[in-house]
Amino acid sequence: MLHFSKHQLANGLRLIVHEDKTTPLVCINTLYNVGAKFENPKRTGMAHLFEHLMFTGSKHAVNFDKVLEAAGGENNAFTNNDITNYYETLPAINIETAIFLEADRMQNLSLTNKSIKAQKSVVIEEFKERYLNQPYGDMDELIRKMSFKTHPYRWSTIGIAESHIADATKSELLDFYHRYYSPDNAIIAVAGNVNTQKVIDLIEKYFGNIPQGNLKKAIIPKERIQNKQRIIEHWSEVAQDAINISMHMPDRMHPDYYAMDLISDILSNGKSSRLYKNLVKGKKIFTELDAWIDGSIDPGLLQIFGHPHSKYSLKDAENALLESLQELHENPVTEYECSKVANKAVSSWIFSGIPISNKAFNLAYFELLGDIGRINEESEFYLKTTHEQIQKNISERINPNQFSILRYYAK
Amino acid sequence: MIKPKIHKISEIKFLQQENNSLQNGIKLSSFYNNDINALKIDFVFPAGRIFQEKAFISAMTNAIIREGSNQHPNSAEIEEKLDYFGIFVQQRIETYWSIFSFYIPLMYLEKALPIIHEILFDPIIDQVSLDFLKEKGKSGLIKQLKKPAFLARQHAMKMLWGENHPMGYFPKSSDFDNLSREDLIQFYNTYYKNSQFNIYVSGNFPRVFISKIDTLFGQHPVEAILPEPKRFLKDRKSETLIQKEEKQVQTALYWTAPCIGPGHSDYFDFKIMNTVFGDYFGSRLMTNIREEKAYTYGIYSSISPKTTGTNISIQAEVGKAYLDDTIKQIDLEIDNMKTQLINNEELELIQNYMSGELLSVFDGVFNHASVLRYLDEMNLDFTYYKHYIDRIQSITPEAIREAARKHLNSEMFHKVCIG
Repeated sequence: MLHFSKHQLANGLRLIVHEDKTTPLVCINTLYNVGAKFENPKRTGMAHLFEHLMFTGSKHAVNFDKVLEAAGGENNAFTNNDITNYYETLPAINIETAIFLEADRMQNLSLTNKSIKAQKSVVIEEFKERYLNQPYGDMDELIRKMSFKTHPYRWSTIGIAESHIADATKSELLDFYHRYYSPDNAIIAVAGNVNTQKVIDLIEKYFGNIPQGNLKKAIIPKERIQNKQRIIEHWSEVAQDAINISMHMPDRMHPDYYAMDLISDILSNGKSSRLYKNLVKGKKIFTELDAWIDGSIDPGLLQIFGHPHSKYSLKDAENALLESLQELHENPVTEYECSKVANKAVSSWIFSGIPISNKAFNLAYFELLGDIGRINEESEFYLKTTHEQIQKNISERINPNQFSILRYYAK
Repeated sequence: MIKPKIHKISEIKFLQQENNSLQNGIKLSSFYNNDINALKIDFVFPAGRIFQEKAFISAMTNAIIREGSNQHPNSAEIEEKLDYFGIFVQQRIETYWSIFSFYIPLMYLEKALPIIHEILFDPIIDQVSLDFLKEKGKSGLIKQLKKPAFLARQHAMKMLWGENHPMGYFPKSSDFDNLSREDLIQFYNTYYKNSQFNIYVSGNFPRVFISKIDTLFGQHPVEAILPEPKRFLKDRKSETLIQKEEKQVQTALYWTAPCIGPGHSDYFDFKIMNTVFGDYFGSRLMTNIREEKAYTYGIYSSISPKTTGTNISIQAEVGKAYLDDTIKQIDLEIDNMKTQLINNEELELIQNYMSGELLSVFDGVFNHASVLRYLDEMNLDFTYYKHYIDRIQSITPEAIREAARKHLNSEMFHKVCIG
């Protein structure tokens, strides 16, 4: 049971505090409700570029990293399609420095031409290093484009093209900042060796005067139901062929979310999973095969990715994989299989919840989802999923007519 | 808004491990914490890459242990149980060690031990699994060999250790074909079954658990005498390799050189100097080459201490057009470290940063177990960290410059650029 308390400032900023006296550290996690899905399709990659800009200094802290490092801290951030998230871990005695830094960059970020130019180049190098220069680096983009036709999940967080990043203007970036980086669009979670009242006082002191942004709730186009199989064939300079099958699944708060997560585990989590036993270790048609859900807030994807064994063509491997998915219908999931994957999901949840940085992130994330109490019910949700419910989801959602198939060939 | 006062970290508390010996002399160290409902057990065998006579034998033996036992030749039966009890297994090899980590929810602790024992001490090592793993290994290697960063690192390691050394050997996919089942069985018998391995337990466990480990794991004879791992040659002339690849949009740069290790009296000074130079986000290299010039997404200089020799490596992937200037800037930053004194602000920053970093290294029982494993490898104990912290607090700008003057220069590096 994770104990926490919840507070809200007059300007709308939400704060969650968890006291943990066993660590000398504290983690401050600041989550902004802005991810790539909020971007203009003609200017993608902005949320991620902005994450970089948030480290380029603010009015009272010219160099964010140096101030934090001087307080013995380290930090990182990530952007995904839903959110942008920042965290600092530092000795608990220096908590005030991290709060000061987050508040100053929420209110007083110094967006200079120089920093914009430099961060655009860094992001473009990142684009090259992680997406262009990397074998299979363009897969995510191809899958998104094929699976989503209206929802903005159709592009990756890095953006559609380098030019979107290169051409972003200062006024567009300022507009982005004022629109999304306001206290009522943020959630701060603090976990570590702290006193709750002292944290509330510090947050009031540094964030209390920041005016609220009154951001209107974004209307994000819903994805239409896919009723025809989609196929893309792609050739690239890679060593081996690969295949990806993706299918749609419900949103994060939907009761069937957990069933779909468990289905992906039944398929490929661990060496006792169906696909591993059948196609990797058994028939040896694949050397690597993996299934996962992307865990997005809006309805996202369950994906299956694999490399065929050199003895098999991609087409044969694809057929074998499709057959195995068909078997989910014919050879139903047993009660035992269902408990097994649920036990494992619970165990994974226990271990991932040990570091304070994960505790802080989870608290902020569940608050964003709209029901922070769920953080203590997550295990229950997995354990109470029945095999009948799993089978119902298999019949409804593992449907070849709704598959998007990417055949990725080595040139 | 006023910048808050920064408090210095004056002390770091270590948890004390409990040391036990099993009947056969195997060392068991444990860190206890009942706040978490889980524990981790690491089985650490001296069976890392440095011991291998044939390429990939260390990695393949590590992998095949998980592929079925004499009692359950079909590994799926063992895996079913592990999965049902929510037990996660991590296996990996390092230079010196082969490590099996088991993450166990407290409620399934009773069930876990016999399964672990069966996996580690009754593996079947059969031809079918070997063929399966060879194919998997080949497929993974083929992918790696397309990555400029992997190639650059491998070439640099070849220069550092020599191509006949297990750590310097440049792998090819046909190496897998030379491995026989007998090779693996022999490697297993020497480096696992009869070897002096270590056990680290961290987390929540009942007292009686230790004696249960003894009952199961204390019966094996420990008799193998391991060969002394080969050191790398220190007096090799530094080499340079530049390999252009038309199709790559970036160049992978990897420099490496032998350097002083934890036994040397200048080591802490050298390590602190290297942190300023390139081992954290605010380092000289990162500030100049990423933040100011934006040539790269990241550039680091890191020290890898090993009992067989310590080396320092600089690595980055840079935009192709920026390669020449990147090299110039690295040399310039090396020169700055040797000729200029760092100012008080940067000194204080580095002192606080490094102390804070150590505080996280010692956060929690799982981390303590990992640190102890490193200390055991290096034949050190926790006083090493006590001296390290003292030196971080007392270091001077002069000592940092002196460490660079004595132990860092551009000419000492083997230099590889690919892409």
